[in-house]
Amino acid sequence: MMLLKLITVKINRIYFFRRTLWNISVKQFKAKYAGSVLGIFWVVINPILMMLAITFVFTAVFKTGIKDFALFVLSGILPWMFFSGALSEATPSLSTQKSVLHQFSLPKEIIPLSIALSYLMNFLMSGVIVYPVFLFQNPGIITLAVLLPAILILTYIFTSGIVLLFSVVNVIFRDLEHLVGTLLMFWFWVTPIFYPIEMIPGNLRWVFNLNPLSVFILFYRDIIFYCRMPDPATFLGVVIWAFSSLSVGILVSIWFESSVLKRI
Amino acid sequence: MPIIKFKDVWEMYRIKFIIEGKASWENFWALQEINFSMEKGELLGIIGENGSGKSTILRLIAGMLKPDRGGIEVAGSVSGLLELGAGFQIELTGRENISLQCELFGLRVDQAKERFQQIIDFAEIGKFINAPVKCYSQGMFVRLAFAIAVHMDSDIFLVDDTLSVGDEYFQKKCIKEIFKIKQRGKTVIIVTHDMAMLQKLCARTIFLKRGMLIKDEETAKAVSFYSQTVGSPKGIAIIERNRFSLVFNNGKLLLNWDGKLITPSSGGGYTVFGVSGVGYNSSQAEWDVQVSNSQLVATGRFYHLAMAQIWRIEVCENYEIKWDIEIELENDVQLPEVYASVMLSDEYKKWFIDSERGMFPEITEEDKNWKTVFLKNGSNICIGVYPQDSSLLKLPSLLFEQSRLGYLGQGSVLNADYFNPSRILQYKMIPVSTNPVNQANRFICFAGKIMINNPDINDYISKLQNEFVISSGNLKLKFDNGQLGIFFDNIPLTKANNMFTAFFTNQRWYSSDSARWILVKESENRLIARGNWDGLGISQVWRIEICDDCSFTWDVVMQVKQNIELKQQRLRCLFSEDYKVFFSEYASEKFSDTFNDTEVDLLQRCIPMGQVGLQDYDGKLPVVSLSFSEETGNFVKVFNSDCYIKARLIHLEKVESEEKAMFPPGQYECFKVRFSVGRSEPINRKDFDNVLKDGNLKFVFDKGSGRLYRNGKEITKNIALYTSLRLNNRWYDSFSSALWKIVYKSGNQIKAVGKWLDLPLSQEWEFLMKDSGQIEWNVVMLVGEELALDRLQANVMLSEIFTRWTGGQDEGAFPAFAPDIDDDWDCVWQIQDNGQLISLKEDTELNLPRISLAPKKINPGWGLKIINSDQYHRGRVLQYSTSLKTTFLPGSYAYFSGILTMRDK
Repeated sequence: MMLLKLITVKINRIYFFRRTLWNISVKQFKAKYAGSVLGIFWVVINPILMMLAITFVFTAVFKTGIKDFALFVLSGILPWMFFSGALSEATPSLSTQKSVLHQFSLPKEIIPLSIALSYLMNFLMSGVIVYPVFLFQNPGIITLAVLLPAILILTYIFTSGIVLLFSVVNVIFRDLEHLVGTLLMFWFWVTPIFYPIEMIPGNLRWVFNLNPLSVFILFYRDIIFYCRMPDPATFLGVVIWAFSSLSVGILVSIWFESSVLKRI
Repeated sequence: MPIIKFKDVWEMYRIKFIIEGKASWENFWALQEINFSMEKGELLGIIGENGSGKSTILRLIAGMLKPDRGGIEVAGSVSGLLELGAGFQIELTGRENISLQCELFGLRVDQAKERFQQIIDFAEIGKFINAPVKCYSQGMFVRLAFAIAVHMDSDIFLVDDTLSVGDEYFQKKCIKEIFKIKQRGKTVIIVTHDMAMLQKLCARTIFLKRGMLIKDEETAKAVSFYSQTVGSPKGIAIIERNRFSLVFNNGKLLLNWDGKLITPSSGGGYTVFGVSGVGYNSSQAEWDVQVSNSQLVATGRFYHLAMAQIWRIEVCENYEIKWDIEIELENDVQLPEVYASVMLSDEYKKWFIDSERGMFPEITEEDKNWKTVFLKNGSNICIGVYPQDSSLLKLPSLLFEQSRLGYLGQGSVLNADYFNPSRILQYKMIPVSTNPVNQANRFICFAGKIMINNPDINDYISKLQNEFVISSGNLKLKFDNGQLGIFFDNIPLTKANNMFTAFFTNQRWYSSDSARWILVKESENRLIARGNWDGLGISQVWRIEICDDCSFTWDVVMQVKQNIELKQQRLRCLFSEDYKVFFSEYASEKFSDTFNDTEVDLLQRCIPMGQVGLQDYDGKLPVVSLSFSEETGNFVKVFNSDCYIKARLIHLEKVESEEKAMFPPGQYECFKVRFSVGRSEPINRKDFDNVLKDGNLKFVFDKGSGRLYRNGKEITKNIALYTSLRLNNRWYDSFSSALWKIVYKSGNQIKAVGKWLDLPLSQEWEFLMKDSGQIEWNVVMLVGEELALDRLQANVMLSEIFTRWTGGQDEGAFPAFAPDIDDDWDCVWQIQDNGQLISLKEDTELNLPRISLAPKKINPGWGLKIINSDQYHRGRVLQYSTSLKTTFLPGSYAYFSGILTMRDK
């Protein structure tokens, strides 16, 4: 109960600064593509390039037997890019964005959260362009698309928790920001993005069940690619993972608040 | 509900120390046990030395830090400026930074737009607003940061010391803005080292020392306390006892009474050791102090001197402070001379040493060195100071006593220099060592006592003060540093500076309160005061003697030691504004009840000799009058003072002509005055009955002019009946250039004599009230020396209600008044060498009489004129005059004789 109260107080405080959070995110989102020739189109080009690369490797080199492999990859690559992008940029954010933190009474959580939010905007933009492609493959997914906003929000909540955790820990343990790149690469491989979960041998399946991201990817793939209702276990999985991640993130941030503030 | 609340807040920093490559961590408490709360709309100051935790408190409020222990409640949004440039992106322009800050503060786009221009206008950094912030000077930085912070309109506003970076103009602007913020009900906290600014801004101030909250009270007290305790912390101790507190700060004793510092913050009690001609001030030593209850023991060591001093200070009952100084000498050291001094505020004006007493001379710009005021040798002396007026008791009396030690001593009273004006009580001791020479020894070299506000001293002082007073019956005279006050039944009749003398030399006035006075009270009713002006070679001796219960004499004699030019001398008396009327042998007049910005000479009248006095309407104040003799060449002027003093002024003046202004050494009598107080009637009051009455007609003679009233309403105007004559292009009017005295008065007749002040000339006027609205006016001129006059006139100025005139057979209406104001009035009608009746009447039905003037006889060369005066006077004038230049030999001349008639229609 005590912990729950702490978390709600914190969330209230962050909610109080929602406008600041929004302002910073919009600014970051704009800043990301400002000055580049292709500008906003990168939100689409990037995932497509990545999809092409993976498809090339796995169809031409490894000869995978998955039908519509390109679309298969594409269905999972967008949420992954959102998550990994947010995490890699947010981890060192508390030390790089000092000047914002010297702003009065601004809860420091705003910074990692705003980075996550800007990546969410990114995700939305690319999703709006890329996901309609799946309609050609299977027009039936239009009915399942109503689940899309729900899973988007849950993904954001989950990502928020992780970025909070990582950014706070990084203040105390500065080495984390160097480690995070490798960590993400490993995470990419153990997440069923370019292979179906069924390909994993049964005795190793638990490792994947421990990976929260795999549930999220499976969810996306079910509604977008397979055009089927995710099973209740997946539903439950994303909800639990999302909220426990956020709780842990906030609790860690509250726990280390005093020392974090002194160190930045 | 407080907007900010600190409850037992502790804040710790872990600091990494690196010594020769080895790192070690140390915990450092930046704040310890901080408790305070602020209500909405309060303005709070925080002071303290560097590192005392001021900024940490602000950071905690701003949410940039969290307390390690305790709790903070902040109910509202926070903005302000804590450190220079925090929150700025230095690569962005000022404009971009403003929008960034607006965004960070969470403003909506429309809100941000609205404030954008206000921020730019407030910052006033011109075109630099479009330059990257990294190119800004510090001042510009602060300007922009402050402008942004102010316009965020948060509930709590924090200002760190950064404000001092701005120039004076911007600082003033910020201070104004901070007041505005406060008026909007916002809460403001300011951290600063600028004590003056703090006292302007905040009513309440918190004083921090080494992370602890030492004082939380009104700003003046906190600031005074702060400035007293700046210094090496090892040498600071504080003892408080009721109204008194003592601060020992590294070889200085600072004394506070009722929260007010009575010693200068730079000084106070201190010692100087004189060793072979060099003085070692106790504040130069390194001090270590231990304090317990009301006692402290402080040890001070000099770096280069093989001696130490140990002070034992104890604050006892009745605000008695025992101060013993022990000296510790190493081998082969010459015994020092010991000076123990107490430096005090220059608000102390009076000193005493045993039974000698006096005033401190004022410290002026010329005083670049300390000056001994008085000195006394002996072994058991007591010195003290007391404030100007002990009844106010803002400052306590203070006595500095030295106990009998058997040493040869000297007590003195000094004035410090202009740059650090203060009074000093000092003992000089030449201690004798009791131990055999060449042995380390320790002995007490000074044992003293400081007594503050001791009732016994106050008795002693009031006795001393009585000696400045002489009295007899109801009359009491108080001499106070070159000023003399009159009291009657203990009511002061004089006010402000009371009565004093002044003289003009070296292009400026010197007044008697700037002299140094020595008094001799010869008896209960006789006082002799001798005042000396340092550097002028002049002194005055006042002899003041009460003759009986209601009069006294005051003689002023000037003693000149070297040639000096004295053009003007005066004796200036300021009487209570409750006096409403002044009178003299010549005149009596009411004072105006309103006082102007400057001294008003509206009532200025020169009275060459005799008597002048003041009285009120209801007889509550005794009539006061002064008479003076002609021998000393005195004359009197009467003034209404300015609105700051609000007094009735009587000046007794002595003016020397150019060739007599040089005074060779010698003695000169300046003033000889006799004051009478409380005589119930002014001596010749009846003479002032200056009114003739007949039916509804009234005539009033008024010092060289005459006024006509009908049914109580004046029909003359302004200067009314008057004569005027011109010599060498200068006009001499009867009402302004002559002194008048009524010499005869009966039921229908007034005779008055007026003596022109600057001309050997006088006039005798006679007014005869005849029946049926006729007044005869006769003027005879008496000439004392041969005199050539250009023009002569007898005038009657009448109200502008009269709009038509008749002259002989002619008749007409007056034109409008000439717009320019000068002596050249429009002549409407005139006739020469011929007697006619000139008269005025009104145009409308106001039921005013026709008024006419008819001379009995026309002198050759004289004539009659009807004149329209100027815009300023707005009167119609009937005039009998001549413009022929006439030389008058001594003798008597019929000047004018005519009848003024008022006839109803």
